[in-house]
Amino acid sequence: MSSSRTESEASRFELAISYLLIIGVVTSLILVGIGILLFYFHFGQIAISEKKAMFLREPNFFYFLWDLLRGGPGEDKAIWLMTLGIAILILTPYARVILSVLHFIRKGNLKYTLITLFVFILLTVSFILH
Amino acid sequence: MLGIGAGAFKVTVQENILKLPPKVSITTSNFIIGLTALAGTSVYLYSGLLNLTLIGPMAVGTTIGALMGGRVLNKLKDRALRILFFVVVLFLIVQMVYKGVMSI
Repeated sequence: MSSSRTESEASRFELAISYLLIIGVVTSLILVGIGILLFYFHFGQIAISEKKAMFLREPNFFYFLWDLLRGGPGEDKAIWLMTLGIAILILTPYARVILSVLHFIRKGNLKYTLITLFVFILLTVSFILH
Repeated sequence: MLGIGAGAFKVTVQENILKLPPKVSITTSNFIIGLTALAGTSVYLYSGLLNLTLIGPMAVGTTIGALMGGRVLNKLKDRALRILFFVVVLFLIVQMVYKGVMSI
């Protein structure tokens, strides 16, 4: 009884992770796709551009996210949408690690809580540093 | 050269050191590549090397490729997969050596 409950809990967790990954990727692709279309309508082409505005440059990922959300779409909606899509794509696996940490804390599994927490801290530090 | 997740190296390590079957190592690499690639994100952001007109279409293209690859993978035999992967890694090696020699 208890083992089947553990099994169904584990599969529910796996299902939650797969939904999270699918939702993250699909949302990101929709935003990037709309961004590319708007870009095409605006500039008449989608060739690789060497213009400075096309390059993302920030001190680290959290600055990038903060600047993106604070600035809003502004005039260039295509570029903002594409950037937002990319940000969501980057955040998806990060959210997946947070979900794992919460799951293992809730289950009281110390070993896996520490392992996933270690991964989470490592990723957060890599986002802060450059 | 290797992408920011270094998937080609991960698959090689998983197959040769961890002794995982090719299909398992490729799918595992695909699943964890997001996490390993994340660690390099800030470095690329700081260096200003991320070009939106390049990563936008690439994100769409690689996702479609990954979806198709997942379906094709189930139909391929392990041996065919190994040969295909060998060709890809061989190409990477030649490319890395060529770029390394040319930049001296």
